[in-house]
Amino acid sequence: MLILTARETEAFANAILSPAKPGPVLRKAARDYRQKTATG
Amino acid sequence: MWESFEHRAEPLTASHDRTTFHSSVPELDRYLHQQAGQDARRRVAAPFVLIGHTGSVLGYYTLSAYSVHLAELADAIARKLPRYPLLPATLLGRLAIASSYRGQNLGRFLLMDALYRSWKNTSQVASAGVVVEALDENARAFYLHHEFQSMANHPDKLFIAMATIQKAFQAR
Repeated sequence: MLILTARETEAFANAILSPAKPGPVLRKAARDYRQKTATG
Repeated sequence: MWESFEHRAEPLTASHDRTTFHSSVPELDRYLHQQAGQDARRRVAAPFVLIGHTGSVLGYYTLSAYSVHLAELADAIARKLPRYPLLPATLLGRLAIASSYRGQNLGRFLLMDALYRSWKNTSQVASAGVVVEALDENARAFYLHHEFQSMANHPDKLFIAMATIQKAFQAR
């Protein structure tokens, strides 16, 4: 179990409530993965 | 990269020969050689291996259920979250590539496989995000490059929201 401090909890909660849009690195990695595994 | 990709990731079984795997990180090698099979049998971690076209193990990672214990939140945020102190998450505990296969983006492939499985699994078991444990600065840089966020007081732990993972895999 990971026990978060108040500051970390706020960052974690914000990331869940307002999730970041994936940036170009993550999008490309996901796209390449789907092509290689035919999961798309 | 990956124009002639012939590798696949699959759950670790007794049929996989792990003895020849060497990542140059003794802790990660020892885990795969001695512990991973037992963890799989006991269902305390789910190890997945990357198999090359010759059938050899080129890398691995592990996934486990995890809990994130939240501190008290400001009312404005707390109102939007379930009233439980624990949030479910997925732990990407270890990820390693054989040292002779470095530089081929196989780490990225394994990371994406871990995120894809974690996301797909949320239709059965809820998870708000993926937490990783970075063994060293290189690993930390790798996860930050792939858009994980670091935690202020736990520099070895990073996370990414499941909704971000979902959007990445659903993007066209």
